[in-house]
Amino acid sequence: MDAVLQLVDASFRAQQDMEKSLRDIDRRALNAMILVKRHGKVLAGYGVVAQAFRERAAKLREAAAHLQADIAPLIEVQMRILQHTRLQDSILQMERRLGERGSRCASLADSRQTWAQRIHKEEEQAHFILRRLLTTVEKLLEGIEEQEYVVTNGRIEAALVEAVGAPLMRVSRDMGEAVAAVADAIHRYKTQLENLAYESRTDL
Amino acid sequence: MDREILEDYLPEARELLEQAQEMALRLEADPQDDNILASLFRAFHTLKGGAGFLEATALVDWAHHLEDLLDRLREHTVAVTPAVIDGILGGIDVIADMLNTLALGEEPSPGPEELARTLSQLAAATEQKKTEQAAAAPDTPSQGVTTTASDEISTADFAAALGRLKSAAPSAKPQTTDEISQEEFEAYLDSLYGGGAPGLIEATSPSTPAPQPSPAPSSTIESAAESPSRNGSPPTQGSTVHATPAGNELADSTLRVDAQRLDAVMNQVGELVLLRNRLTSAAAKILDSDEDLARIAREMDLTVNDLQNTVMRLRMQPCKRLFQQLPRVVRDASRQLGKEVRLDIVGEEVEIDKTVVDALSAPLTHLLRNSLDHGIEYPAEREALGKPREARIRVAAIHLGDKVRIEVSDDGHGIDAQKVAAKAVEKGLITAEQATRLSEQDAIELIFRPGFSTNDRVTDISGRGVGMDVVRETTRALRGRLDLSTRSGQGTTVALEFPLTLAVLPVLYLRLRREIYALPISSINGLLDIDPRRQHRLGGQSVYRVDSDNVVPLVDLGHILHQRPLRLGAEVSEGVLTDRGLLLVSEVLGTEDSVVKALDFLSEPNWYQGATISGQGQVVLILDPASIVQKALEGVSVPRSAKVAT
Repeated sequence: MDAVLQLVDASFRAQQDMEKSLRDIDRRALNAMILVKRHGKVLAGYGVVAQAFRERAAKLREAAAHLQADIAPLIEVQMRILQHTRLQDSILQMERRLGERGSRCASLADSRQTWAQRIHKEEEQAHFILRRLLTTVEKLLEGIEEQEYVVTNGRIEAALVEAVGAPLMRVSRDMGEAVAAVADAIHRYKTQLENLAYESRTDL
Repeated sequence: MDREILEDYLPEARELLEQAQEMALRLEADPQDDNILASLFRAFHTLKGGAGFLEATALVDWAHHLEDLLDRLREHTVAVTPAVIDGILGGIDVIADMLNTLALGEEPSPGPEELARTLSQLAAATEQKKTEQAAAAPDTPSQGVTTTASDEISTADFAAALGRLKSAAPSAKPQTTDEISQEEFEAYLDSLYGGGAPGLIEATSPSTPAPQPSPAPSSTIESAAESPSRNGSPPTQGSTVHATPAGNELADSTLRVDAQRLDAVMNQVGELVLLRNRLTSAAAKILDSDEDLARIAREMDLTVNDLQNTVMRLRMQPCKRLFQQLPRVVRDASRQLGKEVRLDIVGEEVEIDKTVVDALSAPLTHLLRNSLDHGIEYPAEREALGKPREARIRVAAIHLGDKVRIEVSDDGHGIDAQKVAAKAVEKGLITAEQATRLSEQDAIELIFRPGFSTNDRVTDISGRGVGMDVVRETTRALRGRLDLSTRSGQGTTVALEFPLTLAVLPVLYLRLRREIYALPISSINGLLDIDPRRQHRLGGQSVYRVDSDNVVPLVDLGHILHQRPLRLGAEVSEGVLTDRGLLLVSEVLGTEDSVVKALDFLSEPNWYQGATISGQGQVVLILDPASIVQKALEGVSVPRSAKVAT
């Protein structure tokens, strides 16, 4: 139960952090594009970088949306596993009480078996969703690495057109900070997912 | 009158007149420069030749009057005086009016007799002087003198001479058309005037020593781009009129195109830009799966950008065209007012969209006249204040990224905010209560209100209360920005900023709840994540603390456009920091190069600059941030004043 609640909390936090950070990235990219537009063709090179930064930010948002899409089913499955485990436990208790009285009910054993199979299937499903989530997180991290590469290009481009007087170095630094914030949020979430996978019965 | 010849003649004649005016003013500043005189002669001579072809006799006569006068000046038998320059400038005005009449397809009237008499008297005075000189020194050869009356020709003579020239041309040089060369034309004109038309005397010909020029003119014109008095080089304007080899090369490499055709090309490119936006938007949805299509879309994007830039350059014109009228304005107004003014012009070579050049002519004149009448002190007053007698007005064009800034500054006494506010109360533009609440800057900006003038008496220069509001409205219509700064005793600067081109408008799309709007990027300073803790109230107005030393008005677009404010914290919101304040919106979406479509059917004033079609194919309204912020600020002040009134 604690693990599920922790997952819910972690998912909510991650969702909030990523949404805010990705929005921040998008805003900074837009700010850079506005700056470029206001300087005419002189900063066209940086414009390409800013555009790439924004496009990748959009892809990150898309990937983050997929992440969110998987979290709800995972929580659902985890809740079902919890519910069905409790049912299985209560049947087992009934069987024990009957055994203490020296009687035995075959249908109860059969029912418990059915619930155990169902729980196993649900655990497989949770395992599948968790793996998919971790894969999405890995993709997000790859996207972050690409963003970091774009930011580095932006810094080079900013240095090349420093004479223009536009605050591109500051813009690049802001972009870098926004990317670092998203990367932090994703790393924290990945750790939570791995902890859940480790603590849960799901054997990854 | 041959319409085709007229259409070719008019633009060239107007250019010649503009050059003639500039040269006349330069001649006043440098009366000894024979090259300027020669160029001036040549301008009127060419004007006269063209007018002869059109049989515009009144225009021929006037050009001839001026040639006569200039001829006398060339002989150095008379000095270049302000009165002479007045006569020449007056003649230029008359010819300009005649050209306007010709443009309407009508025959120009003979022109003002009084000025004709003045010109004749000036020339006659010279004749008299020459006679006296001849009597005093009979051995002095009289060179280059042509009569004024006898070189007039009748239309019949002109046609006959033209026929002779045409019939003679093939034998001299075989030609396939009936066109005549510039040299032949000049030779023909020379033959008409008995071997030398007035003004065609060699510049190096010896002449009678010139009398000393009259006292210095009241205004001095100094151009940073070309200052013949400073570098001693001859003026270059005349070279475009002369058929010099350089002139021919220039003519070969340039082409005069009807502005309407250019506008048509611009409109078509605008449509292409809109189509490109839609294609890019549609293609973005499938690009991931089709590399080829993605590449084609990128290449098309670049090609359309290049085409757009090329067309934009076609419409660009140097600010020189805009500034060339100003020396005359300063000269005439300063003489009329009895003030001594030096005009410095900087950045004539800076280029700006043709629409801006065309529209800004009158506002610039207003600004200069206002400076001269209200800003600049009288020479004695300036001396008493420890300032040089000669005041300075500086007109500058500065290229700033995607904008051009045009500054008009003077070193006069500045604007007295209290006096302006008092005058506004007197004229009923604001109440006394409102006046007490105005900041200094707000009070100064009252001068842009329609009907405002600090002059009690109406003069030719100013005082009617029209002008500054026209300047502001024109700036707004051109999607520009107007700033005014003044320092008591030191002067005033009015700065107008305009986008480099009006052909394409880069915009930022934003969402306000479910509706999409656009804002011109040129007005945006940045995008902010709104922190409710930075929002404050100041004098009934919402303000936002952008950083430690920057507090700006906060304008809720939901309140202005939906009459329902955005709920900070409860509704998603972002801030767009503009030149005028921070606009609160639901979300910023992205940038795009758009083409503005005018909203002619909306009443004025409104807070839209126009509409565009987004890449998604939606019609999107383009907001005018300055009007919106002004509306928001008025929304605060109006109820307050109403309350006071009750």
